[in-house]
Amino acid sequence: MRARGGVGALVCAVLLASSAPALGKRAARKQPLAEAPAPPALSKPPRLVHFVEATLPPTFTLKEPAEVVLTIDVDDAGKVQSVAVATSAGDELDQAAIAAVRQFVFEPGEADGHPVPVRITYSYRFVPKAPPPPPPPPAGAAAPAVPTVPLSGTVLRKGDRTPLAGVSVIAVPAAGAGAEGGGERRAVTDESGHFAFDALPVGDYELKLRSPTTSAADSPLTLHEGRALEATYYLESKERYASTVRGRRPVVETVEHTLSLEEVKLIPGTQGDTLKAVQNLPGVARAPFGIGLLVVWGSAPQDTRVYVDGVNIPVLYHFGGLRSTVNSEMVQSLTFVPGGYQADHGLGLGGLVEVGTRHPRSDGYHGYAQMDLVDGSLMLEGPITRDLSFAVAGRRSWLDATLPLFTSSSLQLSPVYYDYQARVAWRPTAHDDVDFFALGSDDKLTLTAKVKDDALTANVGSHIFYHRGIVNWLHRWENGATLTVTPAIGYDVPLQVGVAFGTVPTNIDTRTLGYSTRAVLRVPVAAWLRLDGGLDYEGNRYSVLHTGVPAPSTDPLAAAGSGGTAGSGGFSGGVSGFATDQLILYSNALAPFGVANFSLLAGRLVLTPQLRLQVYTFAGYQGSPGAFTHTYFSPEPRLAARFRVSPRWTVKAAVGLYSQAPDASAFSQVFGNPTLEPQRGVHYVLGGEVDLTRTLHLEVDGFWKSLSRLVVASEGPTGPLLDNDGVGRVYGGELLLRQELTRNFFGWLSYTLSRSERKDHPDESFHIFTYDQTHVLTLMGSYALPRGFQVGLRYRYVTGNPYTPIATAFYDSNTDRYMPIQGTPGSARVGAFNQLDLRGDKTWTFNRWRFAIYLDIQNVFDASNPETVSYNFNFRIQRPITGLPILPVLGVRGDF
Amino acid sequence: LKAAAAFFLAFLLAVCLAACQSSNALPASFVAGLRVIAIKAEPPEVAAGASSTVNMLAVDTSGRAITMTWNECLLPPRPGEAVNPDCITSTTGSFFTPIGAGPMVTAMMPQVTADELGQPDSTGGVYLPLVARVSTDADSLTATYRLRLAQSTTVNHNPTIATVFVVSDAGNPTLDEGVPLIVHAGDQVTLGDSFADGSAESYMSPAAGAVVTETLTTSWFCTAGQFSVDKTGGQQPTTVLRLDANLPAVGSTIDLWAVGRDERGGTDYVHRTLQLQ
Repeated sequence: MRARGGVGALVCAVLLASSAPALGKRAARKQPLAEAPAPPALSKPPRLVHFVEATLPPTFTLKEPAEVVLTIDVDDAGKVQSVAVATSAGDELDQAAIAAVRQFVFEPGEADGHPVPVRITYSYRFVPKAPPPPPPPPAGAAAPAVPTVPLSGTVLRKGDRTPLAGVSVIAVPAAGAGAEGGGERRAVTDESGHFAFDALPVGDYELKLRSPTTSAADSPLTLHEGRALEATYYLESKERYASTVRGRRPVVETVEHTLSLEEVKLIPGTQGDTLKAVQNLPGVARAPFGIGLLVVWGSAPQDTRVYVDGVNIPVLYHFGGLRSTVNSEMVQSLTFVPGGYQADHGLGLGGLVEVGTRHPRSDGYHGYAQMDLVDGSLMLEGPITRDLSFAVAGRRSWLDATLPLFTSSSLQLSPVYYDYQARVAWRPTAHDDVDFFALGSDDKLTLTAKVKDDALTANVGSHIFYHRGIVNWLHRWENGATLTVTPAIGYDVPLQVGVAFGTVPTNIDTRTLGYSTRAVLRVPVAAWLRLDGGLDYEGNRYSVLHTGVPAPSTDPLAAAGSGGTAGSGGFSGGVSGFATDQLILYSNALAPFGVANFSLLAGRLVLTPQLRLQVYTFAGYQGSPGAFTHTYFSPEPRLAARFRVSPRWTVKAAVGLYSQAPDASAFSQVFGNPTLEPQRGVHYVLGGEVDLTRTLHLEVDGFWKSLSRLVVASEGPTGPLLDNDGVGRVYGGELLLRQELTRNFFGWLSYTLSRSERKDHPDESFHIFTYDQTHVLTLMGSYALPRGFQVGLRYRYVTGNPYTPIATAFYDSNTDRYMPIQGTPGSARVGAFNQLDLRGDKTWTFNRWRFAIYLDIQNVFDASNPETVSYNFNFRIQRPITGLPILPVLGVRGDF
Repeated sequence: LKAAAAFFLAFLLAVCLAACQSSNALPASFVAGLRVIAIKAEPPEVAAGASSTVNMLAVDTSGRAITMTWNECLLPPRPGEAVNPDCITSTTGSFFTPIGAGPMVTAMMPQVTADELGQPDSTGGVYLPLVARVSTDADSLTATYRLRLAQSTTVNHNPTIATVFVVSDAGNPTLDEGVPLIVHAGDQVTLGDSFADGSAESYMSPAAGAVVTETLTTSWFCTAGQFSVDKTGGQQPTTVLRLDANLPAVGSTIDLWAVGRDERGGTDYVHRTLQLQ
């Protein structure tokens, strides 16, 4: 008895088409999050090029069709690395299928033109050998003439109308009815979900639709003579999530964990915002006040760079961290690297967040609408022509309308934000993809706070925005080499705020015109070597208008945290110093880079030496007496290595040099120092990974960061206010225990233990850095219940934020205020933060659309979590300022 | 820029959270225990080598005896500071010059240049800090007055509080020294003050880049009740004293102080009383 593999091969192709590559990215550590079901997920799915028929034991008799569903890991050479049974059909059939599949050879799947390893689901179908044909009719007997008609149709996924390929369509003649023309007929849907029978005898049929990833469906139909029939069928997906794909990014070829974007959308406390999931990963501390800043491995928020499709954006989250500035539905992949990242990126001493957006769908028009108490958003996407498709999305908050319902009359806060994305994807040739992408974000805020302390009765106006125009051209050569060129232009106001405290105005107005180009060439030289090289350029024209007290401060959160409501001495009138400065700064950062990926010892050892030649130029006050131009050269060698000790154990290490330009405003000749140099850092990472089970993974990493030339407030009573005297060190470890997505459950436990210290001047001792958090623990999980229900929880415990206590205070009669004198920086901490969030979703799936309602409750126990401290008028009494109380957010969403 | 944006966000949220959370702390305008209400120098702006008479209004509601010792401190403040912290945290040093003890002393501006006193503030002024250690046998505090260095012939003068009045439907009767206003528990007394003509002077403001007229403000202090706002002036001409908390026994006298200030160290203060019935 032999099996038939044709059906299985087709199912395989379909599943690949509906899977997304989760591109691991860095040698050191990362948690890339990849979208699962969005088509086209892979630029090229694996294709079965060598099929092997399964051989059943001679004693085994197959009496009826059977199906073994297998999970196959196909490596980037197209070889089958491992096979596991997902749905058994009995031991004999399982073993026969596994033995056959192990001999399969695929043409490897590709993402961005690079071969990538992919995990696929494969259905191996066994069909009993057909009975011998009936004897021919006696000579002279006339065969009855049975009229036939064509039958065709489309099979779509219920809810979002995604074409389902590989679905077996079986036309079974109804018993005792017409259709005398023969037995059952079979067809399989193609990548567009289409199936066709050229000629079916007229009569009654039962049409059976079968696929391992969808529910089965039976539908009666009658074929009439002379009437072709075309029908559309909707099948419900069995999987609450799309399949998880294990992949590697071409740069380093290291296996990494991946998460489906579908699952991170359901993390409690994120209100379905994919990018907010980053805050739950190990290595990320909780930013003070929960404002959504990324504090990664003990670095300041400005040290972590955020890229969208390779282009830097200044802010990832809207005001207060409520929502990310990039629509989650536009996101295909999210890669987070806390440190030790590769030479294709630089300019930051902290971590790296890369957001990859996806191609618009071309299988019809799709979109969604969502609204909750915070904001509302819309998206529409679809084809324009065969080679052209589009996607547009927008969001607008209505907090300005809802906040007054919850705040006291002494505070009038009106935050308004919006963001937009528009993308056109064009495939001019089979080897080229060109994308045009525009995105932007705008946060406008007015605040009138009337409190007993008149110095804080302030009128604040702020407007922060960014806009980006990005062109991305990808060219693929036949040999697998690719070239990606990404020019971009942008205009930002990263900070514009006017505040009048008392009689003294403080204004900061920063505007940035940015222009950048990234070009990356990836060439597979041999099976054991791939070379990547390119150019990374970022230019900016900063215009900084600053009015206020030229006080040396590089640690503003410490000041804010220490001051609380009454510690606004720095803003009060009557203090020493007042100035205005307008700086026009041209900043250029140019870096050619090269990465060699050596795959040795049959792929068990991956060595990745890299070099980035970073060049900075800063030119300010051009045409004026204070004009300056400085050039700095920073060669930055890096090395990453991974060694697969066993199929389940991997160890890894990375080391590298990094640099970061000072903030543009720090080059002010009044408020900073025009001669500042780039800051420097060395990252060391050592870690290991183990697959405890097929879906349970443990990852442990240790890290050390040595920082130098940090910009700090200068010591001297005269001279520039800032200098490069600062040094720092960050060390710790982190753990991630993650239950990978299964049919109904996912979750993880992450824990980071770290210490971040700074020393501002050589004659000082190290002190705790503002963003140091000793323990960061996150436990989260989500479970899919029957009938479209989903529940999830997230618990977080975080060591309290450091703050600088007030050592003493004195009464200043000229201003009628008590002035604080700060104690040792970072020598005190607020209480620990702990919070439980819950989320529940209910989804109704209809043929052509889905509707969901969700309730996201933050701080279920209404814990009083201290965010900072406040003092009374003379700084003798201290009290904590606690964060948000219990906050339920109810929302609805419809997808089509 | 990100750091500044981070600071801005953090600051806003701190303000938001603080404003939304009630505080049981007593306001600065409620006087209990040892307090310095005001320090007034006459004149408030002097040239190098000239002297000024400095008066401190300090009270202790427990009736303890108050001692004051004064020093001039020649350490210039750093940008963003009102007074160099070493002037506060140190008790001895070559930068200290003792100028006497008691509520009234005479301070002489040493022969210094403006640069030696630090960077000018938003009004263009530089100041000589006068540091007073104020103590009773139960408490102590440090208070400063910054004597402005005259850099031109046009010097600042102290404002003069002309009247303190009660806003009512029956006119605005004035509160006179020595004549207590009769009040009752639960009363809400709307108070205002007026300055004598010429109190608000004009000067060249570096912050505005033009000649501006001083904004005069009045700080209010009381030994009972609570003010709606602690400072009046400009857009906020009056304050309401709510006598619903921190009240003494019926029949007691309540002290009320109004301290007027200009933007350049000029000060005046008056004392009035209320009687709770």
